[in-house]
Formats: sequence, structure tokens, C-alpha cells
Amino acid sequence: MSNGTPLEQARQAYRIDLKRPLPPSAIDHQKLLQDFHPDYDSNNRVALKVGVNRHEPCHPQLAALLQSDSPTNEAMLAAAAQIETDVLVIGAGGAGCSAALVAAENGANVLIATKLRMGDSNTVMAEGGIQASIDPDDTPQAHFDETLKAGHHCSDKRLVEQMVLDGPEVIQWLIQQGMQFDRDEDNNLCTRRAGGTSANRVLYYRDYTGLEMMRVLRESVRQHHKITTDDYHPAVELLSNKKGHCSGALLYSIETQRYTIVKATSVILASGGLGRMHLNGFPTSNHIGATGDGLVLAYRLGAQLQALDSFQYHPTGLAWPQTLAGTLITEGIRSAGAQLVNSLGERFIDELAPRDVVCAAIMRECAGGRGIRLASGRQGVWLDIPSLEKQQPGMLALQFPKFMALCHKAGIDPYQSPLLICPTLHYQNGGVVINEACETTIPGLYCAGEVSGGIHGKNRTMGNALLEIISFGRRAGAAAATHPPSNENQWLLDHLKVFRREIKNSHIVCDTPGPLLFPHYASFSRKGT
Amino acid sequence: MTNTDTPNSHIETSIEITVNGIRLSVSANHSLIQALWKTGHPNFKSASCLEGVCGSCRIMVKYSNQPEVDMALACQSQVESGMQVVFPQYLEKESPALLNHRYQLQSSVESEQQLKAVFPEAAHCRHCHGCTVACPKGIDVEQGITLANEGKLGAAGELFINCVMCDLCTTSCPENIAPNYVALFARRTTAVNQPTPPNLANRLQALQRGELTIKY
Repeated sequence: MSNGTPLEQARQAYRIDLKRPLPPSAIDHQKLLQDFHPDYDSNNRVALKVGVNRHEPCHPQLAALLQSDSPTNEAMLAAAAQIETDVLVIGAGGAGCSAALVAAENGANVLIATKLRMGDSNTVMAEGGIQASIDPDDTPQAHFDETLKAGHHCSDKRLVEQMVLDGPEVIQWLIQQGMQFDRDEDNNLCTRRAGGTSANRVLYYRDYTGLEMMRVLRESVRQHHKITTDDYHPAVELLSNKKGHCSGALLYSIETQRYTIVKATSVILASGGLGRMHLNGFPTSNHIGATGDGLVLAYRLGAQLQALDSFQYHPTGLAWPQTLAGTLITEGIRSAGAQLVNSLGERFIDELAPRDVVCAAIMRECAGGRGIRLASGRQGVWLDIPSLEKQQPGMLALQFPKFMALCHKAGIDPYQSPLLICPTLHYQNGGVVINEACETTIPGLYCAGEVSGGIHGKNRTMGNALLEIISFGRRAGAAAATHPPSNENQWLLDHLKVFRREIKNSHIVCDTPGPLLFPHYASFSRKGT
Repeated sequence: MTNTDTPNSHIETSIEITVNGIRLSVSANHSLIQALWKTGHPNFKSASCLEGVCGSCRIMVKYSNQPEVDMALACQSQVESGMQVVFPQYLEKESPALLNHRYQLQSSVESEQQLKAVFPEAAHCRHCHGCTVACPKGIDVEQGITLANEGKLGAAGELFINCVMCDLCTTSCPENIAPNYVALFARRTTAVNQPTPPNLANRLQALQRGELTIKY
């Protein structure tokens, strides 16, 4: 690997330039991905040894977690308090809250259990916006085609079809909840382009789309008399009845260290992603609770998962200052015209190519000696903000307040200095297999949001995550609310016994118990484990 | 903070701070959250997004060179030698300021009366500036309450674009007003009363007429 240019030297060489030549257009995207994207590195894939997805490829760090032992035992169950609800929602980001709201509107009593506080999630940090095909020049068909293409045609087409057709109604529902969007002088909702797409399809509220969405959904939930929320209550195990169907969950209180059995007619898993597992040592843009708990719980219960070797490394994570490494810089700023520039002052990729391609291109520049090197040895490239502001004076302060707050905190003057960026672990493309009604392969267990898979194939476009969480969140809520009660009323860990036996027979050595709940540096420990 | 990247910048200097009454030696050039993590100090309840938008890491902080106590977010605050920090508890869900604010979003004709009915205490504002001082986001919270009381809900809500719902303004109000919830009411009412966006309405109608389908 080449060294690249030291940061100070590169900074002095940087010039504002409004006329940089276009990047070379004849780049073979597939070869670029093969050579430089972490997902395509064969070291990042092992075959699972136990469970429904046995023999299928999985990232080694995730495989270790999926095949980990559970610290949960029968004694914890025996000592646990018991509560009942119609629908239990695990997770309180955008998917969990919208699922809870719709389940409650359908008459169900809903309990939301969440590891942190309601709304502490990746949703609240979403900056780019939410996709919905509403522009006169756009069609749901184009949205469908481009979602599939960006995902390398690995998506479940039925799920994508349903999601893109849901888009406009999702926006209307959000407005009815009290969410604001940026509008033009004719009251049309403003739209901008996402990487890997042709039409203006991303709706937004400044660069606070997720914050605005979460503020509103949280209040809607708080106002609803049929919804109860339990903050600081992560689910540490799902429970099953004698038929193996999901019948509830075991919660752990971070505050009292006590366990609670929740008996539920149906369970919606909306627990998000796994960025805080820091796959391949990457920094992450995710909140601290994103530790893949939902995948672990669902897998032990026997739910089928998919695409466990596919992750999104967002191209523009902050690389410097080091204390903020991994913090996301919204793709919206590239939509607005910001360019990526190497140490030679050259553009090297269409900034609005799909995210995986842009990520691979950045890694190619760094590997080829055209990166900018930090004292630690890490490398990045420039995100050329000063030239963008010079071209469109005033736009940063008006459209990107969250970004400006980040610059202030980082001690960077975005009017003068470009930002050093490198890819950051952002999103789990795969997850629990679901159908159009968000049913998993285990009756009684529903999934919505990042924990589920099948929608984004092997690469997601900007704004499809916020659309997914509301589209599928609402559907999960409606379906779970009408799930028929079972005659088998047991709350057992039998599925865990089966799973443990498989682990033992496969001679897997478990050193870390799952679910993780928190990254190791948060110094969390679960009592009795 | 230092903005240099020299070969020696990874060598960390140690500084003394006080957190919830406990003296800690932490490495400089980190946010408070990162510094706590590096010392092995358990911290998982008072941190989430680390980007200053979730409000879970709110702190009261006093720096050695200033007499006043500031409100801030720990993920956005660099550690400084001699800083004293308290992570205040969130209000209980049962606290008076957070109760009795049930409402259905309505049209703007009634919204002014609705505000008075749902948040009657808002009219009791003493203009003590406590809420404004308490805001870690620099929002003129008191002005927002004044505007809301005047029926200017749109303008009131607009002041709270940066609000992360950390509840510090609510905690600080001697009249048990919940300013951030008043502002959120104002913002939501404004949203539902804006004219339907033509581009959205057209698309919804086309979908209803079955004109837009997907071919595989």
C-alpha cells in the first residue's frame, strides 16, 4: 500500500476550484468493487455452522455472534416478573414507533421495549432524507428499477414494489403526524437526487430529516393511550411456545438489573443494525446501541436470515479529527454538488454513483498513493466543501445546519478547508427474511426496518432506509395487531436448548456471549452472566 | 482543541476532570463521552447518537475559568482540565410538567385555543430566561413561548428547528411549563395545516386511479 500525502502538505496544496474536469467515465464498477470493496474480500466471508442458514456465507464477526451462546437460563425466567400485551415492539426508532402507532390504531395494546430511550436510534441521525417518487419527472417504476440496480439485483422484488408504491402515502402519513418537509415557493415538496438514481426523489427537512421524523413520531407515541414504553429494557431473548412460535420476549432492566417476561400475541422486532460491531475495524456512523441484537435473537429462535455478508460502508465518514472518526457527512451535500478530490486535486469518481462504488473508488485512491495520510497511517480523500459554497454562496448555512454544527465541533472552517473523509460502516444490507406483511419464517415474529433483509439487495441508496422503516413499520404494526391468539400458551426457552446442542455438536468455541447489547468500550455488564 | 496532525499528536496528555462528583484522570483531545469510555468508566445510559441530535448525554458543566454553569451535550464537549460535570437525571414520566398534554392535531382555526387548553401553564411564563439559558442548542426558548402565547405558532416552532428534546428547558421552568413540548405542538400543528403539496397530491391521485404500476 502506498503512503499518500501527509495531511499538512495536502492541506497547503488544496485550492478552491470550480472547474475541475469530470472524473473518468469509463470505470468498470464491477471490477472496482471486486478489487476494493470490503464485502468482496474473501477474508470477510465464512460459512455458518449452525442454524437455519447453515453453510451460507456470513461475515466472520457476525458469524461469531450468531453462533454465540446465550447467558440466559431457566433461573432468570423463574425469577422474572410477568406482564402481558397484545403486541410487543422491540426497538423504538422509526420502524418501531410507526409499527406501534399503527398496531395501536388497529386496536391492539402495545408495549414498546427499548434498550436506550424511545427515539435513541439511527433514525434520529438520518440526514439525507426519504425517498418517494412524487416528482412529475419520476415514476414508481424508476424508483423500483434503480433500487434493484443499486442493490445488484439481489432484492426481493415484491418487497421493493410494495415499498415504492407506498412512498407517497408514507409521506402523507408523516405530514399527518406533524412532520415538516422543505417546500418550494409553490408549496411543492423539495426533492433532490440520491447517488445511483436518475430522478429527484429524496424529500428532506434541512439535514435534520431523521431528527424531525423522530421528534414527531416520539410525540405521537407518547400521546397514544394504547402504547406503553419501557426505556432501558433491552430484549435479551425471544420466548417460544410448544409449537416453536414466538410468544414473547425476556427483557432485562438496565436500571434495576431485573428480568421481565413479556407475554405477547405477536412480537415485532425493530431493533436496527450492527454498526457498533465495527466490522473489519471500520469506524461507524451508527448510534451506540447498534450491536446486531435482533439478528442474534431471531436466529436462535429459528428465523431465516439473508445476505449476512453484505454491508454498506458509507463513502463520506469524517476521517479527521480522529476523535470524530466515522461521523457521517450526509450524501445530501454531494447531491447539492460537493465533489470528491484526491491528493492531486483531481476528481476520480462520479460522486453520485452508488454508495458501494464511491466507497470502493475512495479505497482505490488511498491504495494507489493518491490519498491524504494521517499520522496514524489512516488515509482519506477530500470532500471539497469550499468550492461548493463558493459556487452557491449561503447554501451551507441554509440547508445543512447539522453539518455546520459538526464543522464547528471539529474546529474546521468549511468555507476555507476541505474535509478529510473515508468510508464508515453505515448499514446492514441483509437481515431477517420477511414477506410483504413483515412476517418472518417463525409465526408470531414480525420484523421491520434495518433488522430485516431483502429490500436493498447488496447496496442501499440514500433515502430508502427512512422509506423502508415507515413503509414496513406501518405494515408490521397492522399485521401484528391482527395476529390470531395461539392456543399454546407457554413462554419457553426450548429453542435455545436446540440451538445450544447444535453449537456443541459443531465444536464451536464461544468466547463472547450474545446479544452484545453495547460495544465493549461502553463497559456494560449484564448481571448474572 | 488543537488542529494539528503531527507525528506526535497521538501521544496523549492526561488531565483531571470531575464527573458526578468523582475525580477522574482522562486523556485530552477527546469528547467527554470518549474520554469516559477510554478510562473504562461505564457509560451506556448517557450516550446514544454521539452526533448531538438525541439529547441523551446532556450535562451541566462548569469550566475552571468561568463562574457560570453551562448546559451542553457531552458528545459535543471537549474535555478540559478542571471541568466539573454532572449528568442530570431525566424527569420522571410522571412529573407534572410532562403530564396532561394529550391532544389531537387540529386545523389552525382552533389551534390557538387548543394551545391554551392543552398547555394552560404556558401563559404563566415569568420571563425569567431560565429555559433559554438551559438550552444546549442555543435556542431562544423563552421567545418561542412568547410567540406561542401570541398565537404565532409557525414562528414559535421555527425557533426550535435544532431542538433535540433534551427536556432541559422543561426541567428549568419554575412554572412547570414544558417549552419543548409546546414548541413541538406548534411545529406539528403548523405541519398539518400547511396546504397539501401539489406534487404529492398529484402523485397520490395517480396512484389511486391505478395509473402507476410496476412491471418486473
